[in-house]
Amino acid sequence: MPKGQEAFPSVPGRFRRMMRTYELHGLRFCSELELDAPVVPDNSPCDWVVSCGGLSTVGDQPVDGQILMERRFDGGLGYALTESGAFQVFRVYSTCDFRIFPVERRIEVWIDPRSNHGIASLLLAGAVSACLLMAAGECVLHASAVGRSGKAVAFVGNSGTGKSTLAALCCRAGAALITDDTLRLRCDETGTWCYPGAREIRLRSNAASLAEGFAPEMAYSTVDQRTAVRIAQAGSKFPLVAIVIPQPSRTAHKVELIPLARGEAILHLHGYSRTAGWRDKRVIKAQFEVLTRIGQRVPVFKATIPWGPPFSENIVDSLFQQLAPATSP
Amino acid sequence: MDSIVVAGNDQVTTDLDGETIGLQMANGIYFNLNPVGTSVWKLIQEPRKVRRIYEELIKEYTVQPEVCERDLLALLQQLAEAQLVIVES
Repeated sequence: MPKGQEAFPSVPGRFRRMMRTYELHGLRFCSELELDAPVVPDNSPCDWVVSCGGLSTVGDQPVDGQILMERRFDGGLGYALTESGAFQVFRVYSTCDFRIFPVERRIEVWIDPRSNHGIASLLLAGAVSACLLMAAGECVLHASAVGRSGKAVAFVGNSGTGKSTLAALCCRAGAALITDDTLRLRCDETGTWCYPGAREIRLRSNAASLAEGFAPEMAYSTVDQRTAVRIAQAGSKFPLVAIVIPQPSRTAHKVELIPLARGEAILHLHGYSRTAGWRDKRVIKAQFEVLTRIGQRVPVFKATIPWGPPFSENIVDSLFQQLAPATSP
Repeated sequence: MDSIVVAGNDQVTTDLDGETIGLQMANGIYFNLNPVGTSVWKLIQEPRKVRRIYEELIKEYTVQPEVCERDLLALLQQLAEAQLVIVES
C-alpha cells in the first residue's frame, strides 16, 4: 500500500467490511459502503462491487490522464472523470476519489482525511451513479420525482431551484417519493419510465421547516448540513407523464404553468443532465439522442410557484390540477 | 453571395415537426432552426454557393428578394459564428 494511505479499518463512520447489496437507480451495488437505498438479497446479481480503499489526500484537479468529463463550481469545488490507464477516476475535488474498474465492474473509494466520511455514500448515490449510467448511454437528469395516482411528475433544475422543496410539498400532500436530486429515465415502446432513487429528500436550510410536516422520526441532519426527510419510497418504476421546471417566485400569488413547445423543451432538458461537462463525444451524442426522445414524448412545463416559507397549502393541488390535461390518458 | 457554404461534421441533429434541433459537439452549443432555417440546413449538407441557396428559397417561399437575401446572410453568419458551418470565399 502506498505510503501515507491507510487501510479502511482506520476509517470511521459509514465504512465497514460487511458487504450488502443495494438497489438504486436500477443498479445493484454490492457495497462495503453503507448506502441509503433498499437492501436486496445478497445473492442477487450485482452490477458494481464497491469497496473501501481508505484515506488519501484528494487534490483539486483531475487526476492525470484523459479527461472524459469535468465540471467546476465557485470556490474550487467540482468534479472530473478521467481515464487513467486500466481504470477511471471520478474525483470530487478535495473530497473523494472513486476508482472505477469497468472490466471488473468494481469501484474503490478513497476519501480525503479532511472530508466527512459520510459524504462518500451521498456521492455514490448521486453524481457517481449518474456518471456510470450516463457513460453507458442512459439518461439521468438533475431532478426529483414524485408519484401520484400511479404516474410520475419530475421537477428538473439546477441546484437551489426548488426541486427538493416541491417534492417535499408533494409528499407531504400524500404523493410517493420516487427520487430526490438524481432521476434515471428510460424510454421504450411502452413509455418513459422513472427509476426509484434516493429514499430521502434533502432540504436546504431555507426550506428545512417543511420537515415539520412529517413525523419527527423521519427527519435528521445530513453530512452536508441539510435537513433530510426519510419517506416511504415508491418501490417500482413509474411512467413519467410530465416534467416541470420550477421557477420560485416571492411575488407570485398562484401557481402558473406554461407548456413549452417541443423544440424549446428539448433545449431546456439538455441543460439539466445530472453530470455535465462531458468531453467524450460518444456520451454527448448518446445524451443528445435520449434527451431529444424524452422531450418529444413527455410534456415539459415552466411553473411559476409562489415561494415560501411559508408555503401555501394550495400549491400541490393547483399544480396537479393544471397538469391534469397533460397527464390524463 | 458567391461564397460556398457547407454544414460542419461535428454535430448531431434531429428533425422535429419540420424544425431542426442540434448540438455542435466541439463547443457544446445547442441550436434550434425553424422550418425555413431547416430548409437552409438541408441544402448545405453538401457544399453550395450562397446564391444557389437563395434561389432555392425564392422558389420555395413567398418572400421579397431583398428580405430573403438579408435574412439568409444573417442566418449563415450566425451559423458560422457558432461553428456550425464552413464558409469558403
